[in-house]
Amino acid sequence: MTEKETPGALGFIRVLDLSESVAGQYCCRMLADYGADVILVEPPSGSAVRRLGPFREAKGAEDESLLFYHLNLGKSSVVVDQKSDPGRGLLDDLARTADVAVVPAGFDRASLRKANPDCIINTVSPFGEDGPMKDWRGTEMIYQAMSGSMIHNGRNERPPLYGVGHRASYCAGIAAYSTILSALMVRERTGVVQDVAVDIAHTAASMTYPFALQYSYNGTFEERGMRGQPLVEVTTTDGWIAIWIRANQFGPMCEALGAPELATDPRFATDAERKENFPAFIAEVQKRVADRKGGDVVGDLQARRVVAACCFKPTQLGPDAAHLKAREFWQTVPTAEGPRLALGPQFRMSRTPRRAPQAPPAIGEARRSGGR
Amino acid sequence: MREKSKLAPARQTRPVPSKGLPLSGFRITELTTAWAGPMAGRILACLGAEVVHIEPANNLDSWRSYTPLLLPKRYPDQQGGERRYNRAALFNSQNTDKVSFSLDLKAAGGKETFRALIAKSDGLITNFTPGMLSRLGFSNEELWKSKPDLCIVEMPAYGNSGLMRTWTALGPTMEQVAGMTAIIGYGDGRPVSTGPAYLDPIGAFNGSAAMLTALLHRQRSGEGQHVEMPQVEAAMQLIGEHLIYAAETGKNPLVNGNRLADAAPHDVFPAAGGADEWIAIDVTTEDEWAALCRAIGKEEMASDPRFATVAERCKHQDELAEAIAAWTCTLDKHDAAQRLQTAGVPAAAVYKADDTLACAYLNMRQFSLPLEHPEAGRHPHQGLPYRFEKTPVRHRHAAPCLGEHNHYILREVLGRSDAEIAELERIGTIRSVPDA
Repeated sequence: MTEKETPGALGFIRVLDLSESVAGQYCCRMLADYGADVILVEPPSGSAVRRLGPFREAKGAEDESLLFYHLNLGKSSVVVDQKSDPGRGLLDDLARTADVAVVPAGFDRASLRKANPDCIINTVSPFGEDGPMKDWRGTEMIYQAMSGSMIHNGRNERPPLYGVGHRASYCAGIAAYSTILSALMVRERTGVVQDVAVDIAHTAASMTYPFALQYSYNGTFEERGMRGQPLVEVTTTDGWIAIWIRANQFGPMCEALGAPELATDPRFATDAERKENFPAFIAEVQKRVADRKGGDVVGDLQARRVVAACCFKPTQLGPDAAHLKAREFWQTVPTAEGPRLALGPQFRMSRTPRRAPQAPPAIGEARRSGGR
Repeated sequence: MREKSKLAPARQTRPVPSKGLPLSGFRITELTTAWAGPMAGRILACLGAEVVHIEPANNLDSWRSYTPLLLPKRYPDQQGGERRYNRAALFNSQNTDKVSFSLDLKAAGGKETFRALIAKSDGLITNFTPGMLSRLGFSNEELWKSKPDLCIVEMPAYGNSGLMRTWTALGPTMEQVAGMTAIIGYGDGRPVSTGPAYLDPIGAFNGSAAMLTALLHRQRSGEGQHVEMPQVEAAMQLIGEHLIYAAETGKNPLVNGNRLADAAPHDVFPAAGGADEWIAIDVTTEDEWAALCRAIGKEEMASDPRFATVAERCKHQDELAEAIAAWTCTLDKHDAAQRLQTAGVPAAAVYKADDTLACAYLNMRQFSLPLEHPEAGRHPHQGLPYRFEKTPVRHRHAAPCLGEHNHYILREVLGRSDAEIAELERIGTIRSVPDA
């Protein structure tokens, strides 16, 4: 059975994506992935996400956002000027056909609800619509800063690092997806329709290691960089690798590194001594792998069930990456200019697989096939 | 070699069932360890499911921190106590609202008991390397014999196929393979971890979303299914735009601390009150830039040609940072963030654990809800971001003690007699105390 032939778990719903955010648009892309008919509702100037980088570098396409492309695969687009009467009328017409709407903070939910009392409305926003930070501006670094994660991220002697990209927003998108599915389960079982909401700052805080519970338990903090965790990071001829030492695997690890003498070295004889002499141990490992290929070292370690990995750069994770190729992870999307690349599924469902990705819409472009 | 413990078996309780929540009435069995799998289960428990965490006493969930080396920071008052596996902050943070069933699948009668539990379950969630269920004799087909509409979600690191399928992994190594670690750093070529095992909560959000998708389809069609959620591939979505950019251009993104190529300032600045107090400031628009200059009392900076455009500001980052730090270093981080946000500049204090507990916004969301744990005491447990108008979810009870619900599962869910329960305990298939 190919992906195209199966209806998808969410083939019974229509979704209006009014979110105008990375979080909301990722939520709606997941809904589209698993079968929903998703309409991206854009202002006449186009979604603001169309103007966020990174952008393509292909000639003549330098103003095309790859972020927008990635977040809006499989959707159709309708232009609605919500400031005009005809625009509001059109939105009401669309709302009447929708099972779900994803909206930003401050959206006129009452009008939408009036047009369609059965629609599940999900507000996805930085800090929500109430409370002391409702008017605060949120960006990825702001969410990470307030999550309790960022202070721990980086090297102890350097400033904290926020990370990269829009990871908190994406996770808020996944949380919003789950909130919608939960509300749909309730609606299907009981007929109860409700508003739901996910805040990005709240999501980011929920992704943090349990530092706050630890602090409540005993008043202690952890140092930035999680020093003390048994992670060895060393360079090889073709990049960095990481090894996580489990106490019961220390001997096999030393063997895999071709250094059985380290297993009997008195500096590393017990957990406590290894912890004490960890920099010396890392230096010993570095010496032994510096002239080897990362993949070979990691392969030897994994053959003995030692947790190890190569630190891949994005350019090493393309369609030619061996593991991803074997799994047929990367997919191609037909477009007017020929096939383009898209990432594969988040999860693979045996009965209701993800729909094959379709190109994201041009402004105001109805989907070329499908619909309800 | 560990010795047989002299501790008494765990006190037995009944879990408090949820009422009127999205997953009330659903039972999810969980064969998981550490963070990603247990957090996926915690999400489903928070949404109302009865989530049964299977954790054999002689092979405990690693987050119960029952290692030979005592890590005092993980326990209340830094004391392990008699049963430190019940007092571990890591485990207790990720297993709220759950049922603990300390069944040893490999012991006599273990598989039969598991099969009986599967027959009473709607979903099964696992986060071990692929093949674990099959090696135990529980292929999908075998599981569906016990429960034809079971939804099975596996959360392998690298997937159930491909060259790396059998590789072992943890959050800190998965993020390396996902491409995240390489694009975070201080610009010196050395990768920096993306956060404290950030791949785990990402896996939890994805794993629970996968289960909900399968459960919704089952509710409509009566069909169960198997879902494979490879944690690395699912996490790659979160930097998808950078991966597509790299695949199209052969280039990696710029790595330069918190600084970006298309916005400035976008960085942290030192605040008053200590050596590790910081405030994050992110200026994207020209309005925000003008507002920042006004807020820090340096309006002349707004017309300084070195800072006139984003491109100029990116070129003169160090001078810019110096001028901003001169203002931030005199102020409390919360005060500075509030002033800047009031002026229309995206800014935030970089929180430590105590800031999380004190945050008015997070407290309004009941993010740190106090829960009583019989062996760890009353503490604020951090919550989840799902908000429902009519079926509000929040933590119901603290994490279970090891094997606290063994009798509930055996007697009330599986209908075992007292004699049968006693026999399972006698032969060690059910134990609530690990070897010392």
